[in-house]
Amino acid sequence: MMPDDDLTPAEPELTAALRARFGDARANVDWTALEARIVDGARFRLASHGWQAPASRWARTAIPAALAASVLLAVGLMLAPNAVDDSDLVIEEIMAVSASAALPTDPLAFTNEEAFLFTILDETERDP
Amino acid sequence: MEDSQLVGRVRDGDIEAFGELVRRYQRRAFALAWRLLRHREDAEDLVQESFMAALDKLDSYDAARPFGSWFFRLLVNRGHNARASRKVRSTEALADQLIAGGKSAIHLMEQAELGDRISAAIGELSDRQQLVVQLYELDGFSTAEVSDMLDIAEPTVRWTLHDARKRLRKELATWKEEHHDA
Repeated sequence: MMPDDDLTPAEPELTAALRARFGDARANVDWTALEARIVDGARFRLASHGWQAPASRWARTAIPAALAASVLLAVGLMLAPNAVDDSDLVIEEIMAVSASAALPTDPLAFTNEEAFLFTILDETERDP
Repeated sequence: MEDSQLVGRVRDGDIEAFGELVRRYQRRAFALAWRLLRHREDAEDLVQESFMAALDKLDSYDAARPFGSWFFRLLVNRGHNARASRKVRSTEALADQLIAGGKSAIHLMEQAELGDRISAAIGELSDRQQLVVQLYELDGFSTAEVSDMLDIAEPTVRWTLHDARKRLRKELATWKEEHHDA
């Protein structure tokens, strides 16, 4: 750990030698003129490109939203065929059931239950 | 008013708020620019360009962080690019400054010799470390300000200064001994 006194002002000789070598950064600067120059440049820029600020603000919201929507759409399209297949399967199952004996395609045909019932009734009638 | 509030007003097109940011930062910005380019007009140009770039990139500034660190980093990057692309004018002749100060020829030669030694000692440091030394020792910025300006941790700034002073004192002592013997 360095001692605190190392950051007290350096010896004048050292500072003078550094200054002689590296110069004085803030000599002869007209701060008011520099400020005016910078602010004038900014005023001109804001006036000529002022429309960019609201546009970029709008773009900041719109671009990610459009990207998100595109991704969702892409995912939706990728999944869509599977969804159709699934619903087709369900429909096929329903059709298969409807084609089974429980739901005869011939409206005049007996169902198994009806046939069973008629058989019992027939035998009952014959028995006496 | 806090810097972040000023930035918010500038984003809404308030030029006066921008002027306030310029007043707050232009001196430190100029010192940094001058240290990078060693030429007054180039440094002024760099300060102006950096403020304009800050205005253009203000949407990318995170208001939770200090404005100064963000702005100075932008300036340092542009300064390095300007130096690398050699668009800047030649560095100011320091000897001319000394002559203008009315120093004698012998004194100038001695100063130049000492300057060479100091320069060699400083030259062993990285560019960033050299900046730390100049900003603290010559421009009077505090370690906290230098840390903020160069985006370096304050203990690192203090250590750099400690190390640089040790090197410089050694050079100064050697130079004194040689001139005393002569």
